[in-house]
Amino acid sequence: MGKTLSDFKEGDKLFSEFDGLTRELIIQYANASGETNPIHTRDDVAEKMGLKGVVAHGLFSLGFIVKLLDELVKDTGKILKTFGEMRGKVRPGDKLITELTVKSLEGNIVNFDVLQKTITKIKIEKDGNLIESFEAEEKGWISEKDVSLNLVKSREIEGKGILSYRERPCIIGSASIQLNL
Amino acid sequence: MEQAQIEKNAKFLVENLPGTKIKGSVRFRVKYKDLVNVAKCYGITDPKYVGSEDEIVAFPAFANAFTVKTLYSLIPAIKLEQDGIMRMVFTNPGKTLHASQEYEFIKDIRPGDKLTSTASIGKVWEKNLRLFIEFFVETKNQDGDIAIRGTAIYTTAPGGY
Repeated sequence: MGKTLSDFKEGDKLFSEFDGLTRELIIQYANASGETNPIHTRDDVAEKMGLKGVVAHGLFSLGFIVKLLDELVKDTGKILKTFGEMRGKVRPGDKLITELTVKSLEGNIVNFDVLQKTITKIKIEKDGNLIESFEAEEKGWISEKDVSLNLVKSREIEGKGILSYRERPCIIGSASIQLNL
Repeated sequence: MEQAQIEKNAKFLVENLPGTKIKGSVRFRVKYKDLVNVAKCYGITDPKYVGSEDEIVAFPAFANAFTVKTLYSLIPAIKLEQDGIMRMVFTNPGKTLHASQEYEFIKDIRPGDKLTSTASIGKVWEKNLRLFIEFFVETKNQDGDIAIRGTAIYTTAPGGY
């Protein structure tokens, strides 16, 4: 069952997470959508283009925003519009976090601000020793700019050590849904 | 490419591209398996999108498939005469990025639909020699009804135009 108008008020936040972005899934999307540019499917080509490995399609990420909107309306309305600016590359292994904030209500239309972020694991350390490094560390996906903008953070993982990760926006935009009266 | 030529190209495109109706159209036959395959990439199990052929509609993100195909097909066909020489818009696609995408979902798309997409150019601007081009893509179904309107902005770095 989808949401109804009374379920929304300005400032409400809705979230979804996706933690299954693999090379295989990106290739699956490339084949399904017909967007088969090899920068999305072949590391060797992406590296030649200076990308340090494949990147996911920006529109694939945008689709996860559509998915969250669709879960809201289901049988109680429809998606009217989506808009997204692609702000950062999305890589295999990234966790995608989609956040909708209710911006305004106009009749039976709900307008959202949209923020989609990636969480990119870098490494796990314990007592100064490297326990595990991830592709971001090995391929140099984290830039000095990421560090200077304080996008690199850390948190403790119980029993393992301190995880360093980057959290940054990949899509910023807006969306509107229309709910049945 | 020298800086002076890049600046000249940018000025030419900013002055000559806006409002261009891109010649041609792209036809797209909507297949059941394509709809289901796109939906499955998102882990969707709702029968509305992955059920039987006679009951499903396209998951809205399916719009990506024909919008990108339309732009990839039609943009290379744009030919402009600059200083007596015919040129394309993007001279190095490797320097070009899809910067933003907007969709307006108007009518459901179903298996068997025959879509026709056309495109035109909106605003064109340059910032620090990076060129930004707005493309409008309108997709109609076999009844002539608009199914989806899309607006894409592509940006290309110096040397890519």
